[in-house]
Amino acid sequence: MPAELDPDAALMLRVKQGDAAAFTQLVEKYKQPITNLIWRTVRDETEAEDIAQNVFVQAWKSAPRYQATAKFSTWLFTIARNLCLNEFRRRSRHPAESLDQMRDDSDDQPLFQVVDKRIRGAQDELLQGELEHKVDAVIGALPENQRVALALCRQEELSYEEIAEVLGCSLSATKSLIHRARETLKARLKPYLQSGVWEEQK
Amino acid sequence: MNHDPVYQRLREIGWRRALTDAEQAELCAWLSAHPEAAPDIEQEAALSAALAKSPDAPLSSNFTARVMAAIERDEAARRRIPVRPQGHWWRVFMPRFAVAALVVVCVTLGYRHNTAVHRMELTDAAKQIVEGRALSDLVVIEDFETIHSLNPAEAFVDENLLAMSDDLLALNK
Repeated sequence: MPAELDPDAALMLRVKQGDAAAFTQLVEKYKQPITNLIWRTVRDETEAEDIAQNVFVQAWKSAPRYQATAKFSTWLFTIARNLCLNEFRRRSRHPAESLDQMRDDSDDQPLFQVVDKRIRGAQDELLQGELEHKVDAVIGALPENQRVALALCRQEELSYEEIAEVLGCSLSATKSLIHRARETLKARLKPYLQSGVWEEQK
Repeated sequence: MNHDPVYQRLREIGWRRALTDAEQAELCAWLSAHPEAAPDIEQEAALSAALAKSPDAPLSSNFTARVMAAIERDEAARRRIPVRPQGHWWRVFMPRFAVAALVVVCVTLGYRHNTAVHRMELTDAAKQIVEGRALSDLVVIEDFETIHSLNPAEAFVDENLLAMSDDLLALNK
């Protein structure tokens, strides 16, 4: 994609000349989407922020070699994805048990809670928190590639073709990953989805 | 799973974002012709709503400043590492090459000197033989021809004579 069609790529070309202000603009724009993707992939707040920081440091260091042949966001999300994979490799080499993970969620969280729709307010917030926790847990149980595909799918600036590029697989394989992830989520969240709670709170 | 292209297209759009009014109307029109797909569409919509509600990742307010500070630290660290000039390996290997070359030259010169001295000694010896200087006095070989012509039998007679002379001397004593 030519640089003049992608304002981010144009900023990156300025970064290539050593323009730190242009880079700050890019960091401001992408810090939340990049951290979201990493957080949803590695499932750890502190590590997500550290990896996100590394993504931008890596982008700065790679700036001299940057070619505006692809959309900047695709390039940046690819760096983020690669650093997440590095983190998974590191974890597999040095496995450590998180204190959070030692707690079995299913022990103290009901599978399904019947909602009294007449009671609003604080209870709704509590329920909302529980549902978010449940969705989070179910997403966390997905295979890594499905989880990343699902997270990238929510980045509106990326097309399906660009998501496929970041994931390094074909368009049909990408859609298949997203479809399988959503089917798993629908099956595991069925009681919540059927209760209509989400629809009510929209 | 419904494989209708209209349904598939709208469903894939729904995975990414909320449908626009036009897309919503298109879906409603499609649903009126395919009411059996309604439960699936409702579940898809409910799941999309659930995912949309999941919060953003927590992020420090000074994230950008931390990134720029990390970049600054990285650049400072890179500046501290001395940049090795082009052809650096020459500087490392040149002294070693020089020492090795010096050793080779010394050994070669020593060998050649030794060979030259040895040859000179041989030449001097040959020269002495040719010039006859090895014999201190030519008188030594004055009777060479006479001695050479004597046969061993004559020499034996002389020995007897010497023995007799010795006996005579002993008797006189």
